[in-house]
Amino acid sequence: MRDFLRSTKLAAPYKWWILLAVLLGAGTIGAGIGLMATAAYLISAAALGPLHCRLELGDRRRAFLWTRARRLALFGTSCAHTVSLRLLAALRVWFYNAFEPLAPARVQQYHSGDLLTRAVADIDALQDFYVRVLAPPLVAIVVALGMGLFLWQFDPRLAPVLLLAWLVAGAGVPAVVLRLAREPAQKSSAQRAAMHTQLVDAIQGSPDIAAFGQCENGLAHAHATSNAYASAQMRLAQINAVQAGISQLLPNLTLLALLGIGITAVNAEEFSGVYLATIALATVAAFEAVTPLPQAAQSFEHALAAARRLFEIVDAAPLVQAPPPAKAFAQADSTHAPLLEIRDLKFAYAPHEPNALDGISLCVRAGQKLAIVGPSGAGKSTLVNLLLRFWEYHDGDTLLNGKSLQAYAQADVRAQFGVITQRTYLFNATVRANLQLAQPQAKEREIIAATQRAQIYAKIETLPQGFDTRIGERGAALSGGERQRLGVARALLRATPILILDEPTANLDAPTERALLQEIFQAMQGHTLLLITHRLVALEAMDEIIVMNQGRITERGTQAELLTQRGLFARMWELQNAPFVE
Amino acid sequence: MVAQLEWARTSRRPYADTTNQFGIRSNVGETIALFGPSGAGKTTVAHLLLRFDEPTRGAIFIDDVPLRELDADAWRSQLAYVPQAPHLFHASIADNLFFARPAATPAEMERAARDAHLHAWGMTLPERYNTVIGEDAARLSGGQAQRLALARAFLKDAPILILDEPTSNVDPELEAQLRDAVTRLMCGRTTLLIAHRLAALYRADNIVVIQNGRVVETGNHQMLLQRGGVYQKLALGAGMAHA
Repeated sequence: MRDFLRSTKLAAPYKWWILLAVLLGAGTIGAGIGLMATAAYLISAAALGPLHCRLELGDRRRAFLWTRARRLALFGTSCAHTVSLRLLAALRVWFYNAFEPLAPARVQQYHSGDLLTRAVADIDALQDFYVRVLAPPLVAIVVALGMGLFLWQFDPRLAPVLLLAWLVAGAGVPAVVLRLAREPAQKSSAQRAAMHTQLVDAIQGSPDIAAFGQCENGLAHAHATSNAYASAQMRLAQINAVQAGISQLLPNLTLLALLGIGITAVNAEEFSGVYLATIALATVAAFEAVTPLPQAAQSFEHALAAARRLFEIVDAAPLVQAPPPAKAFAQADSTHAPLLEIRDLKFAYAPHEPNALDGISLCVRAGQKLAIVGPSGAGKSTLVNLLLRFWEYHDGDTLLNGKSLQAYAQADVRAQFGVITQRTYLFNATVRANLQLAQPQAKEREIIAATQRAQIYAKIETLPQGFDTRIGERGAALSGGERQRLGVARALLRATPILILDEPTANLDAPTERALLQEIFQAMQGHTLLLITHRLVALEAMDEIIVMNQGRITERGTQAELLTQRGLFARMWELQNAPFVE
Repeated sequence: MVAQLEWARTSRRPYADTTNQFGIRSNVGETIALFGPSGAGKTTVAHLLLRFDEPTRGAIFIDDVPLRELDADAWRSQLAYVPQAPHLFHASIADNLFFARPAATPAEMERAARDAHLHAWGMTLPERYNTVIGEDAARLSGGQAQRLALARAFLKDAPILILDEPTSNVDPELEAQLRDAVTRLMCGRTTLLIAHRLAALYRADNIVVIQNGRVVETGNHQMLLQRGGVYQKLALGAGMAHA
């Protein structure tokens, strides 16, 4: 109920539009009723006595009602669409505003597919809530009141019969159907999800399936899940078919009842028989207002579930607190302060988890090249996440130019760091567009210089359209090393004070790995560099190597120093360079 | 039992303008290693051997019988494939392993997991081997996925092994465990090893160096080092010429 009220509130700015849509909807049906009623009256009148003048008058009235009905229908539809489109736009903005500060720490909890579903499908479903769920019952109520009054004039007994039928068709049947369909609907959506998971699994794993000769088992499994889904769908279809049948039957039963009462009334000469057909046809036309109600009930459930999922995200508090308003960035105000200093930093991803960082202290001066190495799970990536303010820390501090990171606005912090990860994300666009992402105003000269330094210029020259060649989804047209070089060029263009290389070569083979790292160091000469890696390659170029293990710094020094210390670094070194087959 | 693998001038055309040619021979129980830079065509050879794809020209012979004349399923039953990025199904670890040989007993499954250094990790999970893994369940590291693939191969116990060596996604300590498992897996099997790093090549009976889809050198480690070609250059670059 709370979710229902909250959803309704979201539409508050559009309440007059919605009201207008309801009135127009009721008007359209009213005009339809009028049309049928007039037609019935005229035919009855003509049958009962030759009254030319009446026919003529009636014809004009019919023409008037006909055009009015069409116009109202047109306005009604256009009004409903206006409301729903405006709402759609407003809802998307509302969701995005709530969502943006959550990225990326909070977003990691959700699957990207799941988020896309929420952003697109759930908002679409919620939009339905106003047009298909809120409006139809209101229209039905307005029409019911009108019809009640209309029938009352003829015979007070007619109105309650109609209202009763209305309740059964508009509220009773949908309620029963909802109740019956709830379980099969849940089962069907669960089965559908299972089927999708299984299909994706089978397609992605098809080489493994074929290699292990499991094709037939896989097919049998697919059949089984598909059949389970089909039978759940079948049950739903049966329920819907019965409901559709009842919805067809109810107006006819009502008609019979009303005619029964009407005929006795006419026989008792309570009103003229001319009106009998009018009552009958008007009733049939009025049922148009009830037809969408069972559908509305189903949409209601659907929309409410969507609303709940959206509220869940909107209510999530951002992990990194909203930073104070952007201050002018401190340009190394105290020249003595190191560029970046980390003081006794401790961090855990969740309150009861062990510390991912357990008292890290280090210092980077401008122009220094620092490597952070250690086995998987040592806390290297956590450190990067904290530096980029993806997660909030509470213990210890990180100083940039002598000032706490927490005192900077988020965008200012991120402007200080360039990052190259093992998966440089390239967009399916031209080489140039991918580069200009870093620096939209970059001049041609600068772009060429950056690509030359990153040793990718020659490759770009060989592409069919040079810088204007599209490079495919995620840069599929380039090799792994070439993608990384393009990433380096992008980082060079952005020219941030500190460049973080987060396992930049993890997906490359050894010769390419060494060559690329040496090229990057060359290109980045004079820049401050933070290399995060578990591979001990090309580290001789580093000014200092920090060895991390289980959230702590265990050793530090240059490669030569660390090798003589015979600690973790030396052990990793030996393992890495040991022969493969003993 | 398969005696020989031969690629007779097999060619594929992944790009319109290159023709890839191969001529490789292998005897029973031998380890033959394919080595070359990324994109040289190593994985393509594995796929051809698995019959995921057919050569556009030339043929692969098994015991002098063209591969395309063998029944694909019967042939694959002789192979265990350890891909570079194994697919883990959204199912329990046990199901993911039994997948390699549905008729295996739980004891055999556990033994395969031990052989692949997977057992200790499996025991730390909330529901042991019944823990469901996959997209959103427990996240596996690259090393764990790789060990799972090795366990599958142990369980399948096929005479021929196709091993696509994982690239540098694991740290050295884990890698040592993997190496140990791989070494034992290769023992007594005809192995096609797709190597991305020189360290993997020491004891291969025959190393085939590939560049741009062509075989440029063949021989064992010592022979190739002395030859002074591409292999020597790469070996020197990796600081391994002393071996």
